[in-house]
Amino acid sequence: MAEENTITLKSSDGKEFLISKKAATLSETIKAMVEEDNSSSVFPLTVVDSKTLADVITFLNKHVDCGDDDDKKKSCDEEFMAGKDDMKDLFDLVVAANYLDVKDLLDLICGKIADMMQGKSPEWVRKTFNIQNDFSPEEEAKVREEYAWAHEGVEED
Amino acid sequence: MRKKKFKLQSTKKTPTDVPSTSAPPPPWTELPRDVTANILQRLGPIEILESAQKVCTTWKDVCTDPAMWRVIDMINVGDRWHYIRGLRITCRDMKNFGGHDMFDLKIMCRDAVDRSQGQLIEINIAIFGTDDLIHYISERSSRLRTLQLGYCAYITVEDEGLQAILDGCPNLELLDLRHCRNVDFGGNLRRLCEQRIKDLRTPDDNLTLILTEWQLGFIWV
Repeated sequence: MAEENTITLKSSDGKEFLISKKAATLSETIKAMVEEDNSSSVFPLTVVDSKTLADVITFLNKHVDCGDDDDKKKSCDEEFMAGKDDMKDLFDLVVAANYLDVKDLLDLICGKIADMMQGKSPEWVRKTFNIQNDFSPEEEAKVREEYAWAHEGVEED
Repeated sequence: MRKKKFKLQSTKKTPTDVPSTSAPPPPWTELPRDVTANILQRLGPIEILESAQKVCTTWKDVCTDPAMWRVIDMINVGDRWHYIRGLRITCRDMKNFGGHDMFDLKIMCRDAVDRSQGQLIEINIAIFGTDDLIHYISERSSRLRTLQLGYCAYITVEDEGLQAILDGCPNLELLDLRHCRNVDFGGNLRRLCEQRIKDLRTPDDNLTLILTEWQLGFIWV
């Protein structure tokens, strides 16, 4: 009986995760997969690796437990995000949340990334996010001029 | 080393999935555009204009998309801390305070309104809004539904000004004039507003505290 209420998600590196249907279908993408093919019990997710998928599943299970209680959700989310500050992990999570279409998770990670950038200079953001300054010298000069008052005396990091 | 290799084989991972210390950094600029927009939008207009759009051409491009500017909250009095940064700008030139801070916000606000290309739906110019700025917005934002002007000490919004807003923004549903102490909200103005605005907050309505006395102290200098 229990099997009817669970499905298996298979990560890109071949690991299998058992999860309740209720939790899994908080992902709109998985929900659509399940609706389309309700005879299958294993669903391969070719773009999500096992480390990220384990995280996503933790999040989904927590949210099922929280139900509609927003306060509970908030503290769950804080717990979930605690210590998540590795850039690669955040990147993988935001890509997975977007692909799996889990709005709450997507918003949570996007918020975290935005928080990291808040109040920082473009140089700091480039360095931390490893983004190339790809403006041409002319564009760069123009961009610099825009709101040039900013970052005079703003914290360096 | 040998131990590590053994472990990798035992877990049957393919080499491409093995996390390595020399793994390339995540390609942030290759995120789907709407994810980038989701992140940057949370920074608020000031941060976007002053910083985020200057990072690279991809972000610059996202930041000029009108869809990014449908909601402009210049004050950002949400529960996130970034409104403090807005406030810091408000207080930036405390030494030579001469309205320069308000001036900065107005320049950025006009830029933000321009970027919305008529798609603006919601704007908050509490504290620093002026009649000129309201006029600027109402001329360019026919889809505007929410106009928040709380604590604007400088606006008067006389009958003509209001008529211009109502004409320019036929979809306006919420007008917040709380604590706008120079608005003479009598007779005609009140009547016009009550006829047209579904959710009207008048200068006499109580504004549940969005700013502490200490913060207001700076603004009212």
